[in-house]
Formats: sequence, structure tokens, C-alpha cells
Amino acid sequence: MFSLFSCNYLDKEPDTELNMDMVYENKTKVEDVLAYVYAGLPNPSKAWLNDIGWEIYGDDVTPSKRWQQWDWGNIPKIFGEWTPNTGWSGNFWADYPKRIRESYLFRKNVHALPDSDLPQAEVDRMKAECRFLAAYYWWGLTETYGPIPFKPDYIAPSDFKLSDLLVGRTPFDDIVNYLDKEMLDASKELPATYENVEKYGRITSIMCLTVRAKMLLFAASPLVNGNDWYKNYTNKDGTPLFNSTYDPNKWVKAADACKLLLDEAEKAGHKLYTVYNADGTVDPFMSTENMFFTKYQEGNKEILFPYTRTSDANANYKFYTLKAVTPEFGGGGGMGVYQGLVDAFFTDNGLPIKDPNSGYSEAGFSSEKEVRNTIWTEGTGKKGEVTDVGTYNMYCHREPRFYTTVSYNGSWYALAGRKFDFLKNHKDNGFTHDAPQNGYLVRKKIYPTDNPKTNSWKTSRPLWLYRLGGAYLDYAEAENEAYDNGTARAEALKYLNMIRVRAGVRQYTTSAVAVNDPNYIHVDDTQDAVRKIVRMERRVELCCEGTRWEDIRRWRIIEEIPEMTGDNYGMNFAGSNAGEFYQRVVFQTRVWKKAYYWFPIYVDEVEKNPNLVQSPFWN
Amino acid sequence: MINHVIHSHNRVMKGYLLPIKSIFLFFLLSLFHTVSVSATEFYTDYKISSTQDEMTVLQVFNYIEKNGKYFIFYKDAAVDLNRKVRVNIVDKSPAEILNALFSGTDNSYVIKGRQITVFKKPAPSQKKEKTIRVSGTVTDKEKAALPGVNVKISGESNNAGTITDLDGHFYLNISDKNAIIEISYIGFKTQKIRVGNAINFDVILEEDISALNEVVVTGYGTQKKVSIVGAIDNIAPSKLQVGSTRSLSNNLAGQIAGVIAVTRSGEPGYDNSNFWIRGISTFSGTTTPLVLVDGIERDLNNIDPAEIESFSVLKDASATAMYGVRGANGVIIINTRRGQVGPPSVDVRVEHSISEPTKLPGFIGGADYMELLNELKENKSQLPYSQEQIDKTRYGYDKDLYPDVNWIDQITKNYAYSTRANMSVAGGSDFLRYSLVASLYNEQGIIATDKTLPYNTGINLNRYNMRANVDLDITKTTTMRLNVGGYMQNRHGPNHSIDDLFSQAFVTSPIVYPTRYSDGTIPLVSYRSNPWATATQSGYTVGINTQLQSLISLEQNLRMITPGLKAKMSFSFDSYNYSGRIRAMNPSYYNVATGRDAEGNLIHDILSYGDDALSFSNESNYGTKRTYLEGTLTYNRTFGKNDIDALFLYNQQSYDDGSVQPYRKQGFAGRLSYVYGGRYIGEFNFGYNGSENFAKGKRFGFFPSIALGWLVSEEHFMEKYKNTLNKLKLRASYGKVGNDNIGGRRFAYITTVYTGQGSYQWGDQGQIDRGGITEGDIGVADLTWETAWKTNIGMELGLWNALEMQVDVFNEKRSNIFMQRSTIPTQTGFITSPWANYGKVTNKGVDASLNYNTKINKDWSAGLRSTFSYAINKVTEKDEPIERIGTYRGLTGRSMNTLWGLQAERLFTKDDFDANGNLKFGIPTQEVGASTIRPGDIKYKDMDGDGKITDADEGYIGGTNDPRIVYGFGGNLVFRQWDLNIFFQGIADTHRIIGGSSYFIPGSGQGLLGNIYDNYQDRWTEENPSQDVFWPRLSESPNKQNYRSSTWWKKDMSFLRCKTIELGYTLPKNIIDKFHAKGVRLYLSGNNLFCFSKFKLWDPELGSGDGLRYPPMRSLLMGIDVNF
Repeated sequence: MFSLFSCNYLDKEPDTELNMDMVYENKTKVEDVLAYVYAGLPNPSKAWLNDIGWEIYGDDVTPSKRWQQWDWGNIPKIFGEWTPNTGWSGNFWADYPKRIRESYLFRKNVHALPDSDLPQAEVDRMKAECRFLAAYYWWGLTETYGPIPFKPDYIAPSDFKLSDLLVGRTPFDDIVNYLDKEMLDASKELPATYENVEKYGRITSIMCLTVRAKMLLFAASPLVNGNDWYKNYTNKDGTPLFNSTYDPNKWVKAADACKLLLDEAEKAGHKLYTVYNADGTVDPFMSTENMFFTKYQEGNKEILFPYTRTSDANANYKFYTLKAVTPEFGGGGGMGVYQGLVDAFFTDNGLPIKDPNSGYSEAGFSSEKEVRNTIWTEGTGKKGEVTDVGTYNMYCHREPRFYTTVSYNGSWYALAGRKFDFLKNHKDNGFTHDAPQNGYLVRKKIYPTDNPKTNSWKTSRPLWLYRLGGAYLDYAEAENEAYDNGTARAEALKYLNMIRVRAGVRQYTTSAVAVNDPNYIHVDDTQDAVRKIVRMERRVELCCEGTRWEDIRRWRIIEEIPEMTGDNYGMNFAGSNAGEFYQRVVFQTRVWKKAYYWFPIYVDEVEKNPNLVQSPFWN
Repeated sequence: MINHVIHSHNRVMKGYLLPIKSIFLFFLLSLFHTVSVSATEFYTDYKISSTQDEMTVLQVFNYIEKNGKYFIFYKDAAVDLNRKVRVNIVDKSPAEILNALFSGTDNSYVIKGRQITVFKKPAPSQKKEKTIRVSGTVTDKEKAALPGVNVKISGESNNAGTITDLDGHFYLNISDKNAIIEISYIGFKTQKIRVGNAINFDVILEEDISALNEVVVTGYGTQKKVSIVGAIDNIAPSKLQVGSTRSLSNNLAGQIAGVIAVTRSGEPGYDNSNFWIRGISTFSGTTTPLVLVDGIERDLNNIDPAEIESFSVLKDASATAMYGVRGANGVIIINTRRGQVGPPSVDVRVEHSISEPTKLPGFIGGADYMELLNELKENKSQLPYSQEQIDKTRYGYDKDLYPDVNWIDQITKNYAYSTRANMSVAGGSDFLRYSLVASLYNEQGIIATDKTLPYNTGINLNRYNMRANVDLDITKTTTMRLNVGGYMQNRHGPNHSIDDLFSQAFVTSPIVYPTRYSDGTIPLVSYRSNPWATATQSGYTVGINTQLQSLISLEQNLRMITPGLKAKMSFSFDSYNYSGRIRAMNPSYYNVATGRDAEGNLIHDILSYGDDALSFSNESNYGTKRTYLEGTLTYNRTFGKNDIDALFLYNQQSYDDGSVQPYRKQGFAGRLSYVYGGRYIGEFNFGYNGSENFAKGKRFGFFPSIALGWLVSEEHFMEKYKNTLNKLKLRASYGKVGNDNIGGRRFAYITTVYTGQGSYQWGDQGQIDRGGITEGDIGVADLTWETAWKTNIGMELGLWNALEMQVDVFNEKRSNIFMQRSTIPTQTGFITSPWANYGKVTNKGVDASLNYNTKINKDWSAGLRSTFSYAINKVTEKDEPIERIGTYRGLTGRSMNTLWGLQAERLFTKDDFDANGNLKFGIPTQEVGASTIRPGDIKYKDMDGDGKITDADEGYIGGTNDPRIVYGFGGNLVFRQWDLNIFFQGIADTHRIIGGSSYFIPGSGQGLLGNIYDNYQDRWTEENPSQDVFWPRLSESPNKQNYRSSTWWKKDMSFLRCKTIELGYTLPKNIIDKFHAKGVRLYLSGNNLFCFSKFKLWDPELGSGDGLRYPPMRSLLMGIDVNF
């Protein structure tokens, strides 16, 4: 007792409590720091859907509006209930700078531990990973908030001068140019793949090049390339933050970046995931469905940027699945797709429904089963049967991706061993918020037998941020925009057609072909015509994968999309018989404001930093 | 030389003061002389060598004292000190000198050790009588000898008596066995003893507490009340033993001036009040006072009032400076009961009470609920409810298919019971005093249970308290104290948080399903809840808190060094432990029935299978321990008109809650108090202590305070008004206190590491799993505690010996507030914002108390009491953007925790809109959450004048949740055996923004979430476009435009509550004598009987924006108090 009676009584006991210096002396802890830097990567399942909400902001997936009462903070925003202070679980503004700072600290402090199996070469790779990740987060901020306060390679000290921290916005192009170099340099320091499967998920040169290509594509797009909307959007000192002069060279840069990626990806063995029938033909149903349940190591080489944070099953697939499984099986049963997406799918001959030659009809019901060359059983429960007799004609004779993406009334519900029944007060529509509000449920990315009620799930499945299919479409778009000539268009169509072949629809050609040519659809050899089909293809190929919101923003076309700006249609979920049900009725009305192209900054943050201007049109 | 000075006073001193001179002399001698001299060497034959000419008697005395190191005791009247004598003093022993000196006089002397007592020989007439020589020792109750006590025969003059010597001994010759010895001493009650046959008396004088010597518990000890110059309030423990509530903190509001307290929940076990001393003065870290029980930091909530002897609240700097870095928020000092010498005194008290919620929110039934939702539905072709459904619900056609449930009713019972019993025994002998207390408290809750289950899930809280305090005199000067106390609290309750149950009950709509179908099955919708099943069918939990409190102290009276000096060493250890178990069970749930089959059975299938039996799991055990060591030196003496009270102390404590290492504190404290003439008081206090939180060199701080007081009523010129103005004291204090309790950041100078910051996995199977490590809090070397400069000016007034008033005005300036920087852009990327000492707050206020007690006549007496506390703080410096300061968005210049929101001006009217339904030109548009605005929506004020209402128009809208005014008043009336006590308590200047959730406003939950308050018709409608309504326009879906925080929802939560009405009857003596009891009182008491408040929806004190919490309880209590 009395031994404590000393002047040193208040000294912190010297013990082994961890400090940052010790962290960098231990290989596992070094990786712990690295993990923190990685952990800012967005989860492409729940986060894209719900926390970050890219799916909600776009016009692919529509969750039941009344779910906003629970954990769907992003829903009110699409109905105009969005102010600068509205919370956002994505929270890039606060989160990403922490990841960036930690990645800089890591690069500064990490060093080789030769005795602990951490050689200099590994340290150099880790540093390159951090270099890319910092650039990735900077771009994440820029893509979301526009030209952000940008102070790269700066680590604020604890005895900071506050004025050093009050950084204003940096012009958009300056940020992109800097990050372009960072990502490219990082890619040169990293391998394209890792031999060791334990390193799967670590940043590769391919991942760097993928994000770089996406960024340059965005930077070349109409929203930020010569958009006169932002002519007067400047810093307080008058610095313009967006370049309002169109620069075609940006498309060239984007196309080059895309091409570099494709070349490198091909070298690294990436290719489209394709399932073939026994007769050697492509099975588009199995290809587009199983892509989401086949891991890279199981042969899905389409994955370019895997997300390997496996620890949170809820975030990775349960949450998303729950929302599309009906209450009978313990789900929410209210996450549908917009009618606009339903309408975007081609018919089985590869034409849009509005095309007079598409054979599309909304009248009546089918009188016979439709059987296609596939082992897919999700149409009627029987192999090859895509639609049953009595299916609403809107859903008949559509392209395979439609069937693997959308659950419509009368489509097969494998979990229940029966057809979906979305009529009012029928099995799958209790006429509550937990029912398909517009007569659809999303099917894409839902494993058919995942059962929340019995808690049985397919646990082994891949997640990714980007896949090769998307890169093909990026390249096709950039190539077509960069060079207005036939060669470029042919190059664009080449990659577009690879997607279409896998999807089981006819390819495009600029050559003259018959309307009912079994293999090709004619497209005019013009930039506009190709742009149109590229965009149509992106819509249906990449739907429900978190890219639609980015696409319609950068194309600056949201004002032209009725579903983004006003009434949203669907089948009438208040209809208790087919006659009442199969009508296009308004189920909700969205509100769009020009300001929504960029996220706002919390008023507090603007106040803290006198050099920071609010995002465009939010004031 | 010093001795001369002392002796020169003799002539003017009254007799009874004489011992004091000698004591001081003794003190000085002890210091300067006796240190090296053995006490035995000069008892008898010590020769004095000097020559002297003619001297006075006094000079001879001085000479003997100085040169012979003797003390001479005498009464002025007994000796003629000025008589000139010529005695040979060379080489004479004191006896020789004195013999020569007194020859021929009527003086005589006795030499005993170093003491020489000079007295007058008894008068010759008395000599003739037969005298008895009696002796005795006079001590105080702590067995300290009292020198200089007057001892005389009752009725005779003082001169005939004697005084006690240094050891408290006296000798007295008496002539009559029937004589009565009168023993008197200032500050003590005079004692009279009949001589009888005894010749030796041990007299213990009791302190006269009613007089000026009443002591008050202050920092690290006690002080005479008269000398208190700090703002210290105390309350009789009996005032805290009211009501049926478990927690002591619930009885503070309104009882003690300066304490602001609110009870935000009534849930058994979680109903502790929030309380502050003089409000809140900082926006960081802790704001609650330091609570010390027997000097140790302990929780006050679980002490049984029966254990308490004193309860003091230290408010200003002079009272709290000694606590240094811990004292800034005020200090509450509770001392537990100690025994007194005497036969065992037993007190038994038993109370039983029945209670019900003060007020629960009322909700409308299912049929009205559906009608409102249909009414609100804009698309009338998709009405959610059919008329058939509404009618069948209204008329109870089939309660399974058309349920109509008031979930609040279903999860609660109407009444609950509680019992409190305590027994205390106290007493003691000369060397051992004890106080033993045992208490039992049982409280049941109002949460409903299912009686058909074999186990109980209801709330049942049992608490057992015990305490044994023993004082043992090991020697005449050494006292050992041992306090052992503790409690065990056993809380049994449903396997679910009660707050959660209430919010489920609010969230669940009345029409979704019944509590349970008539076939016994329990309905549920996935991811929703069935509140009744959650409450009653989910098993139960048991949580056990135990605490052991101990204290051992050894007090040594150092009067052998100098009287009044004491040393004390205390050591304490406390341990606290929590353990719990969960017996969970999931019932089987069924889907909502869709109808009935042909046989009339409900059609529904199972949703989830439940458990067959209760499962078992242990909650993680949690424990803390605390050790405390303290050494104290006190000195407390009166010299004539000078009262000195000094204290010096060292302490250290270690608190271990299982975190990386114990929390430690260390420090010194001291006090010097000086009172002159019972009128002028000066006091200096200091604390010098440190906190481990700060770097070496920044660790220790010095916290001084001074206080001055003037007891005007004790001035001579006031004597004639004494009957009117019996007390007038003015006092002021100023000093510095600190606060190192800074909100969880430990070792602020060390940079921390955060682990587990979000993992990431790599590998094809995710096999490389890494936890995520980051830099944590950045260490900042020069951080230190926050400081408070406190000023207090007070007045105490007593009138007619009946009315007592105390008023204190205070001003506190808190600076260096320890906080996290809040102006750093998030973009900087700090994981946590760096800490800094930044920020200033001033806190001002007044607290006052008024007491009046009078005895009207033989049968009637009455009393009134009241307290008032007001505290308002202002942030004078805060780390906020410069652009904000001075605007409606700046906190600088406002009170902390000022409510935030938009300024609601009124509701929009039809006239505000043009024909297209757009706002007319000139009216600011509102972009605050809804895309469309309609008549009946709340119109906000454009604070920044930009023509738009946006988030930037939000700002401080005034008012705080925590009250600025707390008051209490009451009275008691006694008529013979009857007594009646009434106490009211209120808070004012308190507000709350209610609502805030998307389903709070009736109908906005869309039938999915939320109930509808029964005042829902008090709303704006097109037919009734009134501005004077509770609810704005209702809508069919959440309307953020209307539910967001604004002055519209800011409600005045002031209330005045009838806290207690108690009627007691004390059995008359002739009856209780038959039971050999000393006193028996029966009483009936009502608590929280009624409440006045402008706010009607729920109990305004509840800490909730929607009223859905366990409410405060109203109770009726019967009790008996027996004293043996």
C-alpha cells in the first residue's frame, strides 16, 4: 500500500500497450493497417443498394417506398426530401479522407521486417496498393461531390495551423489528371494477378487500370466535359471548377485507358463468363445468372475488381436477397424493378420493344409454353421452359437477361415451388409495404433457393466492383466517342457484340442485313446510332450492378428519363384480378432537381471551411 | 518572552478563559522546550537559580514558569497577582518559593508533575464542617480530556469551585453529600451531578449542538457552523427518506438549494435522477458532482436513507477547492451513521406502497386509426381500409381478424407494489460505539406478465443494504473506526429493454394483429415485433449488482503534543460487481391470419418455430474496485476569541474498472480557518493535486480559495436586536477549482492506436482476415485540466428565532475546457478530432432556502420550508467557425445544450398560395424536407434572408432540456400526536423538442409504424384552418417538412408536482410504554399525487420526445416507524 506512496504514482505504467511504432514492427499488424485502408471499398451488394444507395438513386431497382420508415435513409431523397444536411450512410465525405490519411501514414511508416517474412519487395507492393487506394478514394469523393478540396500526399500534423487545413475545391480536371498518373504509376508497381490464392483481392495492376479507365470515361462524359451548366461555378476567388469547354481529347484518353485495360486483362487471362450448352452453343440464361454465383477460382474470369470482404454475410448477400424474397419465406418481398427497366430489355430477337419488328405485344396472354435451348429451370420449374401458357404477353419472347433479372407475376418462384402471385391479397401481395409495389421483384443476383426463413444460403459466391463485361462496354462507348469513323465503330461493335453473344441476342452490324437475319441487326454507321445502342446495351447488361446511376449522371440525361423525374409506373398491385392488375398505373412519383447530380456538403462542413463552396445548385 | 506576553493578558481575561492561556503556553513549551527534556527529571527537586528584588506575585509566577518549566493554574479572583513581594528565589525549589510567597495569605498550592495549581484556602467557617474530597475527570465524547472546565457546587459562586487540569482532572472539597456538582464549559452542555456516595466522577460533556458550536460536514471533515463561510448546504437525512423510490437521487430536487435534478425515467433499477450542483458549466466531459460517501467516491443512488447521518452539498470554491481537479462540478458529502454512547437504540421502519404511472400517453383505437388513414389517403381509389374492416373493428366483430390493440395497455399492469424495511441499532459504551443498519427494498414493475407461464418475467427488484460502523477507542487517545457496508441488488425483469418495449408499443399499430389469437398462437410479421410477446414471452433476465464498501481509519489524538491536534490515517477498498444471466425463449410465431376456414379455424401458418425451453446464457461479469488512502492532520483550538481550525491532508486513489490500467489520482489539500470573536471569519483552502491524464509537468495544479465572513448579528451593537434578528451572516468566497474528468480520453498526451476498426479479408476464401488498425487519438503534450473560477456571495438571516433564510449568488467562469476540436474540416482525415483545452463558459445563478418553524401553542406547531435554485450558463468561447459566432447559428453567447432547429412562424394558409398551388411571389420557398408545401404546413422563418428556407436557416432556438429553475416548498403541521407534511416540487425554464421521428405525427406512419395520440383532432384541416392547433396538416406519409426540429415542437416542460403528502400519527406515550417502545409513528403518504403542467400528452419530466418510456410513478405508501 505504501509503496504506491510516491511521486510517480500518476505515471502511466510502462506496459506493453500497443503504439503505432510497435504496429509497424509486426507483420500481422502491418496488414491490419492495410486492411483498414482497404475497408473503405464499398460493398457492392448492400451498400450499393442501401447505405450508399446508388441503386436507389438510379432507375433500376425500386424498393418499397414505405421502407423509408425503417432502414432506408436514401429513399426519401428520390422523392425530393433531400437537403444538404440529410444524412447519408455512405458518408464518403468523412470516411474516405480517413482512409486516405491512413494510407499515407502507412506509406510513410511501413518498412521491411526481414525476420518476419516481410521483405522489401512485399513492402513496396503494399505501398503501391496504398497509393492506388488513396487515389481510388480521392476519385470516389470527386465522382460524388464534384471538384473536392484536394491536397494529395499531405498528412496533417497534430500541431497543425488551422489555415493549412482550410483547403478550397480544386478544379475537376486537375484532380483527374493527378489521379490518372497515380493510378497508372501504381499499376506499374503491381502484378496483374497473384499466384498465391491468399492474396486474391489485393490490388492488382488490372484493378488500378480498371478504376483509371472508369474515371477517364467519366471525365470525358458530357456532365463534366464542356458542360455549360457549371460555367459560373467557381471557388470564392473565381477559379472555375469545371472546364466548360468541350475537349474531345478526353475521350481519346478514355479510349486509350480502356484499351490498355482490355489488353492487360486479356494477358492476365480475363474473359467473359460463359456457360455453354451441351451442343456447344452459349447458354445465355445460365451465363447471366450463374455469373453471380461462380467465383473467380471456379472459373469466373470476368471479375476484374473483386471485393473479398467476406465477413459480413448480411452486407454481402442476405440483406439484398431478403428484400426480394416474399414474407412467406421471411423476406420483405417489396424490392422490384422499374417498368422502365422491364421495357428496356430487348425482345428475343434482340430488338427494343418499340421497334416495329420486335414482335412485342402488351395485349393478352400467351397460349403456349416457350421453350429455349437452356438447362435453366427458373422459367416454369422445368428445364428449358422460359414462360408458361397464360403468361402476360409483355413478358413473353423477351431476351434471356430479362428472365434472369426480373420476377414478374406468373414467373417461377423456385423457393416456393410455384409461380409468383402478385395479385392483391394473394400469396405474394398482402397489399402492404412488404409487397411488390409495382408488380415486380428483382431476380438478378438472387440465388433461387436462398431461404431466409430457414436461414439457408449459398454462402460461396463472388462479389466484385467491376467486371470485364462493363469494361467492354466502357471501351465501346469511349472508342465510338473518341473517333467518329467506321474503324472505331467497328471496334466498338466488336466488343458490344461479345456481350450480346453471351446474352443470347443477335449481334449488330453496320452492314446491310435483312430485318429477320438470324444473327445480325443492322445499325447505321454513325456515331449517334452506335452511341444509342451502346447505351441501350449498358442499361440491360449492367442493370442492378450499381452503374446505372453513374451512367445517367455522366451522360447528363436524367432530365430526359420520365421515371427519374416524375411518375413511376408498374403493374397495379391494388388489382385483385388479372384485368385490374395488368395495367400500367402510377405507383409513385419521383422528384428530380438539377442539384442532385452531385452530392451536397453538410452545412456544418461548409461553415467550417470558408474556402469551400457548396456543391452546384445546392445553395 | 512569549510567556510574558501571554501572562500579560491575565488581568483582562475572565476566569474561564484562563485555561486557554495555559494550553497555548503548553503548546509553545512543547514546541520549544520539551523536545529534548525528559519529563521525569524536574518533578520535585528542580532548583531555580537567580536573584530577584521586589517583584509582583505575577512576576514570581512567570519566573517559575519560565525557569522551572512549570505551569501555574489559578483563578484570577483567587490570587492577588499585583501584590509586591520580596522572596528569595535563588536556588530554591518552586515549593520553597511558593511557601514563602503565600505565607500569611489564604492561598495554597498543589504541585503535581509540572503543574502547579494555586487556590484559595477554604474559608475558616467551612473548615469547621466535615468536607469530602471528591475527584473526577472531564472529557468530551471522544474521550479527549477537557482542561479548564469549571467545576463548582451548584448555587455557589464560581470562586468556590475549581477548574480541571490539563488531563481533565479536578479535585473539589464538598461539605454535603447532597450537593450538586455543576460542570460547565463553553460549547458544551452544562452537567449537574448529585454527589451521593461517589467520590470519583468520570464526566463526559456533551457538545451543545444547538448553540454556536453546531458542526457541519465540509470538505474532509467538519467545521463549526458558525465558521462556515463557503456555500454549503445540508439536509436532514429524514428529508431524503420520502416516497417509494429506490434511488436517493430522486429525492434531491427541490430539497436542497443549488441542486438541480430531474428524473427522466421511472423504470425500476434505472430511475436514477440526473443531477447537477448549480447547473452545468462545461460542454465536455462530466458535469455531475463528485459524490463522496464517508470520504470515498461512491454512488449515491444505492444508499438507503437509513444509513445516512449527514448529507452536505458543497457548492462554491471555498468548499470544493480542496478537491482540486475533482471539485469543479461541486461535491456531495454523505456520512453514514455512527454510534453514540448509550444503550442500544433500535429503530425499525417498514413501508409498503402501491404505485401507478403518473401519466401514459393515450392512443386512439383501431377503427379511428383506420378512418384517419383513409381520410389522409390522397389517392381515394386505393384506400387502405374498407368500411367493412373499420366497422368490424369498431364493433369487435372478430378480434382475431379485426384486432384493435392498445399496446401500451397490453404491456403494462395498472399497479405495482414496493416495500421498504429498515432496522438500525446504535449505541455504545465508553470505548466502543456502533451503528448497525440493515435495509430491504423491493420494487415491482408495471410491465405485464403472462400468469400462465411457470416462470415470472415481471420486473422485480430487491435490494439489501447493510452497514456496520464501529468506533473503538484503543487507547484514551486512539480511536479506530471500521465501516463496512454494502448492498446487493437483484433485478429480475423481462428479457428486453423496457425503453425498447415502450417504443415497440408505440411503433406497433393497433390493427396489425392481436396480442395472441384466440387459438393461443402468437402472431407476428417478420422484422416487426409483437410488443406483448416481447414483454411476456421472451424469457427473463436477472442482473445482480453487489457492492462492498469498507473503510478503516485510525485517529490519534495528539494532545500530548498539543491539544487540538489530531492525526488520522484512513484506508478504504470498495468493490463492485455485476453479473447477470439471461433465460431467453423465443415463442413460436404465426403469420397474420388471412381468414377462417369452414370450421371457423383461423387460416394461418407458422412463421417461426420457437424454443421448447428457456435457454441460458451468462452476461459478461463486470467489476470495479477502488482503493483509497488518506492521511490527515487537523488542528482545532480556541484561544480566547480566536478560533483556529486547520487541516492538512494527503490522499491517493486507484480505481480499477478492468481497463488497461487503474485510474489514479493523488493530491494534497489543506484548510486554515480563523474566527475572531465569533464574528469575523477568514478561511483559506487549497488543493494541490494531479491527474494521470496529463503529461509530467502538466499534471499537478494548485487550487486555492479564500473566503471571508462576518456574523453581523454577533456584534455588540446588534445585541439589542437579538430577539428579532437572531442571525445575520454575510460571506463571500473566491477560488479556483479544476476538472480532470474529461470525457473518457485517458493519458491525453499519448497517441493511441485503434484496433478493430473494420476488418477486411483477402484470399479466395477470405482466409486472410485482418482486423483494421489505425492511429487513434493524437497525443497532445500540453493538455491540462479545465479550470473554474468561482465566486460566491451569500447571506444567512435568522429572524425571531423561527425563520431562517439563506441566499447565495454565484458566478463561475470555466475555462480551458477540454474538448475535441470542432472546426477542423472532416476532409483532414483525422480518425478522431484532436483534443485541446479550448472553450469558456460562465455560469451564474442564485440559490436560496427559507425555513420557518414555530410552536403555536402547546398542541400546535407548524413549519414551512422552501428552496429555490436558478442557474444559467453562457458559452463565452467555443471552437466554432468564426462565421457562425454572433449569428443565430453560433453557440457563443448562448447556453450550452440550447435547442436547435428552425423557427416556426405559423402554419401556411390558403392565401399563401396561388391558383396553381405554388407559393406566392415574395414568400420564401421552403426546401427543408418535402418537395411540396401545402396550406397547414409549418411556415418557417427565413433566418439568413436569402428568400429560401434551407438547412442553413436552422439555428439555436432557445431553451434547454435541463431545467434552469428548480424549486420546492412545503410545510408541516403538528397537532398533538398528528403530523402532516406536504411538499411540492417544480422545475421551470425547461423545454423539449418533441417528436422528430417520421411516424410521430398522426397518420405519417402510414399504418405501418406508430400509434396516434388521442389529441389527434387538435389539428389543422381544410375545414378547420386554425393556427392554434397542436398538429399541423397531417399527411399520409412522413413529411419531413413538418416533423423536423423547430419551435413548433418546442414545448414548455415546466411543472409543479405534489411530491409528498404525508400524514403521521405518533402513538401516545401511555400506549407505547406497554410495548416498551420509545416511539411509534404510523404514517400514510402519497407521492407524485398530481402535477400541474402546460404539457398534457405525457409526464413532462420524462426524458423522451414521444412519451414512450417507463413513466414516473405515483404511489400511495403506508408505513410504521418504531423506536426502542
